[in-house]
Amino acid sequence: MSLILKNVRKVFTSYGVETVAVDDFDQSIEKGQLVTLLGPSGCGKTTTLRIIAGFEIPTNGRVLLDEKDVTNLPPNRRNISMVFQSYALFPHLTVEENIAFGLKLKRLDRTQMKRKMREMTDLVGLKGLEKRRPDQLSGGQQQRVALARSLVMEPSVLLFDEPLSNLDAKLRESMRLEIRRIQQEVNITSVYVTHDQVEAMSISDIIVVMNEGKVMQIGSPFDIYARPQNSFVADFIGRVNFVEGVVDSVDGDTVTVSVRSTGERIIGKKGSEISTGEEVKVVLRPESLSDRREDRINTLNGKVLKFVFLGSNVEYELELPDGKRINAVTFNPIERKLPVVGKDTELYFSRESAWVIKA
Amino acid sequence: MAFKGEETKNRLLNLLKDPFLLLLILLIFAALAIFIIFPIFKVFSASLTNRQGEFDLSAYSRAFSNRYMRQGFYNSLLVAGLTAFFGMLVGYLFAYTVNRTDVPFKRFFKTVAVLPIVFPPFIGALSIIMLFGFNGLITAGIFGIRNFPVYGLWGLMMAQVVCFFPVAFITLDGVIGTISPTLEDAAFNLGANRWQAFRKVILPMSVPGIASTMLVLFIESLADFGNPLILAGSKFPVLSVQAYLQITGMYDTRGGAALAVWLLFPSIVAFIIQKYWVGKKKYVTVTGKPTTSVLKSVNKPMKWILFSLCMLMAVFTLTIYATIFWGAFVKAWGMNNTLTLDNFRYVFDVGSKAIRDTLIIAFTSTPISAVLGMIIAFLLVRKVFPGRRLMEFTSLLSFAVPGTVIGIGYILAFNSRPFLLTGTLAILVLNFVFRYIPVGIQSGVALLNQVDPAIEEAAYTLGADNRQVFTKVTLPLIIPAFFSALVFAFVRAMTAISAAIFLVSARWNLITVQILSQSDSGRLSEACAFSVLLIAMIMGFIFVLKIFLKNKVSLSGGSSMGQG
Repeated sequence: MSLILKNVRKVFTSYGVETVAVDDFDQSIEKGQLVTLLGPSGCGKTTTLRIIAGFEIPTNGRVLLDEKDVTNLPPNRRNISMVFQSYALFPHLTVEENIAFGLKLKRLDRTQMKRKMREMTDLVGLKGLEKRRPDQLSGGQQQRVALARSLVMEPSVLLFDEPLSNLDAKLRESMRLEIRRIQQEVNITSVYVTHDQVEAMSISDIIVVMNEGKVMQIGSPFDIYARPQNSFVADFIGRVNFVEGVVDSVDGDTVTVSVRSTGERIIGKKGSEISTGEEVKVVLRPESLSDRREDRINTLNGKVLKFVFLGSNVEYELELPDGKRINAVTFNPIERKLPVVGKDTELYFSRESAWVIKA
Repeated sequence: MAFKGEETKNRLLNLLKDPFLLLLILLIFAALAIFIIFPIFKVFSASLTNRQGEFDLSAYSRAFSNRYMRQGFYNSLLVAGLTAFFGMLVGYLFAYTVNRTDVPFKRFFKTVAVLPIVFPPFIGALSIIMLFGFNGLITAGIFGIRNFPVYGLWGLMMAQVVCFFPVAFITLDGVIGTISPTLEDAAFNLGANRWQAFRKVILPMSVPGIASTMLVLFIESLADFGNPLILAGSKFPVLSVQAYLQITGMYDTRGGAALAVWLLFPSIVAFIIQKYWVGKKKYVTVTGKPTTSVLKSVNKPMKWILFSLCMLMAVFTLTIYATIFWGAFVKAWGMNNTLTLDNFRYVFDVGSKAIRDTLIIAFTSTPISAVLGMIIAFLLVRKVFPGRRLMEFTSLLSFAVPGTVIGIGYILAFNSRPFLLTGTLAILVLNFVFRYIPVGIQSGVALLNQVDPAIEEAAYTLGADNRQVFTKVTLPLIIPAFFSALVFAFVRAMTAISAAIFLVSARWNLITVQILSQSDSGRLSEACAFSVLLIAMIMGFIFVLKIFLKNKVSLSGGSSMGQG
């Protein structure tokens, strides 16, 4: 285990009011993994990151780095580097001097330093910019310098604090692929904070979804999206429809739910510990609702309220008999007709895409 | 709350793991306690105990039963109040004219409005006597009036307004300059005329700046020693001078201390109001959008009225200083106006030791003061430690404590073991260091607040400890604040008088004390020559520093040099 957070808790007190920023965070991170802390602003993800870095001292709990307790070590005595949201480049130093900053503090000899610097500028693609100052660089280049400056220290753990939020959309997409490539190339354990779910999905080995200081779910991007353990995670990641109902029967991981308003049956997969008679929510992603039956065993009846044609897909809104509204998406609309507003329609979905969780 | 205890424990452990930081904080606290709090405490305790060391209020009753002393208290407050009001008015006039009209000679007005800051404050008084006094160039020379009432309230206030209005200008220039002209556009657009736009928008928005300025001027005027010593005269006693005379003339330290306590109270009250009440009420209208608007705040006649008023004040200010220069080169002011270099010969003959001493003291105290100011600013903005607010208050306190009080405090506090410093270089240097740190701290704090803390955090994660972060990252980033602290501390050290006059000795003397004693014995031309030399040295220092800065640190943009 590269990094272990043991029951970390952080309480801020201001004017006598206590706010729990991080509540019982417990997670181990393996060597070479990239773990993303994902959640809305104020969920405690940045505080957790700053506790790992050593900028905040946890109220309770321990931080272990390479089997060593570092809870009370100041940031400079932990072997951890950080890439900041604002890049935080030293404005009075050149690119080269920025990257060499930590190495000089380590009193590395000249030849070794030169070699490392060359490797690093190659790796992050900064060749030819060594003599520039930060204010002469574009946002993406500054980001690369920040990354190089941290990587060159060969830290045990590399931290990213929303590193892409200051870049424009196009650059953000290419930079996140770049970060992932470099991270895997040097196989460095990383903790990455973001509120952008697409970013989290695209670069993470593990995603930790947080809300109000609590960990809501830990899992691979696929798990987080396809097998959310609670309605917060289901709602926060991607778009979702919830259908409320009561459990009829449980058979292994298959659950039969009767929809509260219509009494219709839905057969789905068990997403959390539930038993017969319990109130549940069925999680339905818009793209899992199809207008073709094929081998899909569940059906929803409704009326088309409106639709939006987006070229590659059509999004539409359906009103169920009880007045509840459901979103659905159909891809490649060219090979089928567009929906007609006001028309009664049947939508089908499979057992696998009906994910049943506690209400 | 068990977990809270654990966090405190963790935090303390963290501090212990960084003994350098802990030691630094403790050292600074100790220094502030010894060199700021302890002397003030000594003034109180001296005024409250008699020779036998018993509690005794007689020093106060004595001071208060004396009508003359009581008058001193009223006079001090009166002058301070008037100087605050008129100084603010002149400062506002300049700041408004420069920011809100398109008058010619704006750069000239700006220069004149900050110039007096680099001059010794009591030069104004000297010059006013030379212009309006018994042998005054204007009163006697032009109008033949010999008994113009220059000594007393109006003369003193005039001198103080000239030397303190730059403080008002700098603050109000910042305030009015940042009020977006689009707000006036909006007011016009909503049907206001120019006068209404000024009265309902600009004026209310500058009220916090006005209040803050007046309080600062009030403190400066109360603390002023040189001007009243020259100008107040025996019919118009003021506290700072009376406290000094009580001690040096009557050898009554207790009485002097009691007067000092009376001087201290209004200053501290004004300081607390300024810092904790007015200081918080600031309007910020920085929007990030470019605010280019044609200046149309005043109409044509008003523009020229404002211009004339500024020009009048500027000419008056320049006349004050020109008089000093002229005076330095004439045989005997008002009686024999032939040009000569004799005065300078005299200065280098009699004053060479004072010149050398002044330079040694200034060059020793200035860098210490500036570095200490930056360190304290760094701790205040970037570190969390118990007693942080106390450190802030104490370190800024020395701004509010009149020099007279501090001077008396120093002679009381450091005349016996373990702090036997009387008559040494150290007592002067220490006094200057701790009296002039507030400006360094304030400019350091202001600049640090604009520096992204992540830049320093990045240095920590790259392995830098507190000392390395400060020297390799923070200090280079706040270099402009450092240099403005350096200039300010140097100017103040060169021109200091109110506290220093208690601390000089045969071994260590100052040019400023020479100027006062020369003018006291009627050798005005010699006093002028000393002043010119002093000004030349200050200008020289600023000039050299500017050249040095141009080559060294151009990256941090224009530093706010010379504006205190």
